Amino acid sequence: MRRGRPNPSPISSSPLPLWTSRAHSIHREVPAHTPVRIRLKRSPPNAADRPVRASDLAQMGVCERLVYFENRYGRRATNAQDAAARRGNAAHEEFLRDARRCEPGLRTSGAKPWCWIASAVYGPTAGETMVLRAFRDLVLRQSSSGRAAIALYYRSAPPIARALARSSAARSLARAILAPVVAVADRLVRKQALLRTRHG
Amino acid sequence: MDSVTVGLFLLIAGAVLYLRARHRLRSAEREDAWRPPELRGAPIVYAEKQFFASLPIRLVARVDRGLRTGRGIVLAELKTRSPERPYMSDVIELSAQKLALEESAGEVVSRTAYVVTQHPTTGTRRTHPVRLLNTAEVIALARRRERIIAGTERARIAWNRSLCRPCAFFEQCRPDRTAHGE
Repeated sequence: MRRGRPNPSPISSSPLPLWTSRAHSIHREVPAHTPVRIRLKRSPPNAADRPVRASDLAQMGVCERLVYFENRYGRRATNAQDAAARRGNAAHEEFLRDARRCEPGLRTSGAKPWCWIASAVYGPTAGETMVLRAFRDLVLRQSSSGRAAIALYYRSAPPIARALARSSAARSLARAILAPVVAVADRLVRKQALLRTRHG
Repeated sequence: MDSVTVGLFLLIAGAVLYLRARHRLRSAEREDAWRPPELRGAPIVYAEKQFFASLPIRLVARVDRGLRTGRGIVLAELKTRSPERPYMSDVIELSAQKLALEESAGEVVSRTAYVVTQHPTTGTRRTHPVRLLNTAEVIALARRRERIIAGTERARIAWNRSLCRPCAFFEQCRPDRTAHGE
């Protein structure tokens, strides 16, 4: 049974490469035997400028066409793939628990709270969220005032994120407000990374 | 406080301590079970830790496990799958992790890493050593990915055609109408 439909709207106007099947464009329905769920992941206009995730790069070793299609039309997963992802997440949680029990003082990214507001506005794995996470880790965490700001954010952000998750208009507004913040954060992160590289 | 309350308190505290000790022991056993002899006793320095690299490519990588050994940090990646073998995608992911870790933390990372496959139903784990790509290869791959996304590079079909039929993009891709490898 199909659980979702491909969203025909988020298609850029650039022409399809010659190797894609024009006769079977995204406007056609996916066959009923392929249950799909659309995870809206429209590639932003400056996608090439966004950091690439190691797991996304790894897809190049699976199928290069899948890399292209997912970037163009958004990520899709069958029910079986969803179930496999859930199993994988559970296994990773256990793997992490084992590490924490074996090394009690271990600090992990998994232990840190999410970027609540950015995750609600852009999605937990969006490029903007990653930029803001990197800003938190590379810039804010370096000073005591920055760490205090992070602590304040973690206390106040969850109810705001919940409110944002309920309203699409609020998310649009937050996106407009956050856009310059993300741009500045991105610049500072690049600067910090460059400094770290220079100082070895 | 009467003796019954004290006894009950001690019983609960003892049970909690026992359960914690048992969990810790089981975790240690599970941890030892997947590690090859050369990694036994190596301290875990990174677990589910995210690293960010900006030069020469902008990269975000989450390390499942980083162990400190005499030859630097050794990476391990957990995969839940029934064919208990490593794939090229695992090698690419670990190579990207190596690059991000070296750049952001300044660590020396071993070119030998491990893919830990966990069977989805039985939960048994097997460890496979893999040789990682070098930095130039990772960068070249990232650049190729950018070109494919931009539509300026011809994307290749999966070598393993069994992946195509269940793929949600089968109708757009139509790999059955394309020569192999194009």
